[in-house]
Amino acid sequence: MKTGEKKKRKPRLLTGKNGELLVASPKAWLYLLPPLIIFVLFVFYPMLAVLRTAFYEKYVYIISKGTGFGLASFKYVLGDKTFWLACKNTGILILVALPATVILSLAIALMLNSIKQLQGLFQTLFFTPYVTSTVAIGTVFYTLFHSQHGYINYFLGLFGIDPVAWLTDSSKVIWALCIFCIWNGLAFKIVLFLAGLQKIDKKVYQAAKIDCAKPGKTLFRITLPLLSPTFFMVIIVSVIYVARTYNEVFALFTSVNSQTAGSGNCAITIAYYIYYYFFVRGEVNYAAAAAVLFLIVIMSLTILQRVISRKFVHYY
Amino acid sequence: MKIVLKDLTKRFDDAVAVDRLNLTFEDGELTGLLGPSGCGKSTTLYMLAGLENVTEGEIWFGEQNVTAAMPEERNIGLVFQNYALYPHMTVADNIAFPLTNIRNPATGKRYTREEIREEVQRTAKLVQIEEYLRRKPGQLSGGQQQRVAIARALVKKPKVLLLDEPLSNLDARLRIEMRQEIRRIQQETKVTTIFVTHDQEEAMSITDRIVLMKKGVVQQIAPAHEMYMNPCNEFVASFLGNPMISYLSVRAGEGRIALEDGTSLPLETGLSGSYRLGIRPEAWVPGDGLRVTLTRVEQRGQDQIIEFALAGQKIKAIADAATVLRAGDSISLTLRENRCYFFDEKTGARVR
Repeated sequence: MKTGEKKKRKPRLLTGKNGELLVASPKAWLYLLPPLIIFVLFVFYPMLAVLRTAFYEKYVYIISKGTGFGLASFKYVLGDKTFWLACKNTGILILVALPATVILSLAIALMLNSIKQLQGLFQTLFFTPYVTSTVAIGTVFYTLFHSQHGYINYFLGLFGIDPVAWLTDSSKVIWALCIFCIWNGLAFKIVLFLAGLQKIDKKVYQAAKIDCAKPGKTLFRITLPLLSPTFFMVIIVSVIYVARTYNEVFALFTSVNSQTAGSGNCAITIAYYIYYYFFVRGEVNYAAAAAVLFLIVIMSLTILQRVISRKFVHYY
Repeated sequence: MKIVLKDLTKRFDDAVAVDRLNLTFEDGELTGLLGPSGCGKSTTLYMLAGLENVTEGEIWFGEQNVTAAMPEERNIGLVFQNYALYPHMTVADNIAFPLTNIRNPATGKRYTREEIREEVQRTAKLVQIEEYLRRKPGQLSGGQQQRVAIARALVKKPKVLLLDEPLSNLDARLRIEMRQEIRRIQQETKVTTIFVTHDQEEAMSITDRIVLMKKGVVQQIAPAHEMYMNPCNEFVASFLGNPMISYLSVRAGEGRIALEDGTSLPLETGLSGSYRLGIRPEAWVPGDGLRVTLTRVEQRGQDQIIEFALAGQKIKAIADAATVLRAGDSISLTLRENRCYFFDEKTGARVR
């Protein structure tokens, strides 16, 4: 061996999933480090911290000190009427507002996709709500929903319907919230559906024309099945999005002097419940327990969706 | 059914894609619409299908003027270049789809499930894909997808079958197999068929007649053999034939043909003046005449393509495979007059 010639380390080789050769090297960790640090610091550690906090009976946030270890916080949350109201409200949003917003956005996307002129202009118009702050829109809706001066009651008045106390009547607030969520959720879903629609080969529509399919049949036998992967993706994303509804509640119902979601927290959602217990009441362990319960529900919902979608989504 | 195009014209903004096309497609014939890309052949096909509007002129299907008819009113089958199968449906559903939209001409009612099953079976058998009926298009090879596309186009027994570059997505061997298949299917069904292609070999091998187009204008309409033997202009002569026809600038007069460098060609014509002389590669045969030095030789197996220079122009010819030739070899060749064509220098029109 000549002097000065370094002994070259032989790389260790691995066989990958598709049979390609991979080089095993500790250097890889160096490249992975930056995102790993961010992930551990801002995702993994907070998750663990929340989980830990949820099992304390009492927890002081400022000094990160908890006392009493057990299931007491879960017990409290599950026995709390407000928590169940939050679950009910969130459930209504998922079962009513979500289907409505998905169907409406699909219909609008289908129409946008079929117009020939000014398509770009209309797409931009329909997308603007997405880039506008929810709080700003909330302020506008707050005015629209006003029981005496709001346009919505004025409009209903034209049909002889008595004014509705949208924002104060505790049995109506959830519907005001639904309407706001439906409108606010449209923009993003329209964009997703449009992207899905534009991915479908135009020749397939021409083939359907040659095959004498009527427009309705083309929609149900061709467009919608081919859109099903997009449809599934939109549902998954929006279930999680709607379940986390917080901005909308804050914008419509929280006033300066009261931190509750409407009078007596009647418009509360799970996300708002977590916020409320954390920041307003300072009972961090209850907020954490609610967050853990929420995570379990969302995860089971997502798994359920995956199982169901296998039957209906056409991947090709 | 006979199809007649009268002064058919298509303009996109200012560009003329198809210029006053007058054509007749005979009943039961397989016609090839041939031309380089951008010649208007696909546009013509899409106008026939009703997927493209007609700017001016008329389209007649038999006794019926269909110029303004919707595609679904025309009873046509169309095979797309990329097949455009419905990717989420099985092969059987793809083929059955047209039948679920129309009435059975025999009964005047909607097709029953049983009738659809029978028709799908019959058509699948015709294109030989019976064993793949339950698969999705994504699980089939290109050639099989092609067969499904043809089956879907034929299942409703259309009056016209239109094929838009149906073979261009296939590999070379499959292309030859499929073009024979298309011919077989067309002859079994006797459906009037129009076949768009840019491949002269494809068009020559299976069509009854070729319509050769260039920049929206028809150059020549003739059966393959006649078009090859009797091209009406320089473009037609160049477009057909592989290897391509070679050209020389010549002066004719006093019973001889002279090249630019003064060499005489052993041809006799009554012409005088300057011409472009087109010589098919097979016009050159061994014999006393010109002595040439080969610059390039290409082996093809059954024969060899040889290249040599005459008056500074590259000339291609075909030599038989018996003796292996190499670049630099010197051979004697003579010309067969019937494969030489004289074209006008300016217009490119055939003179003799």
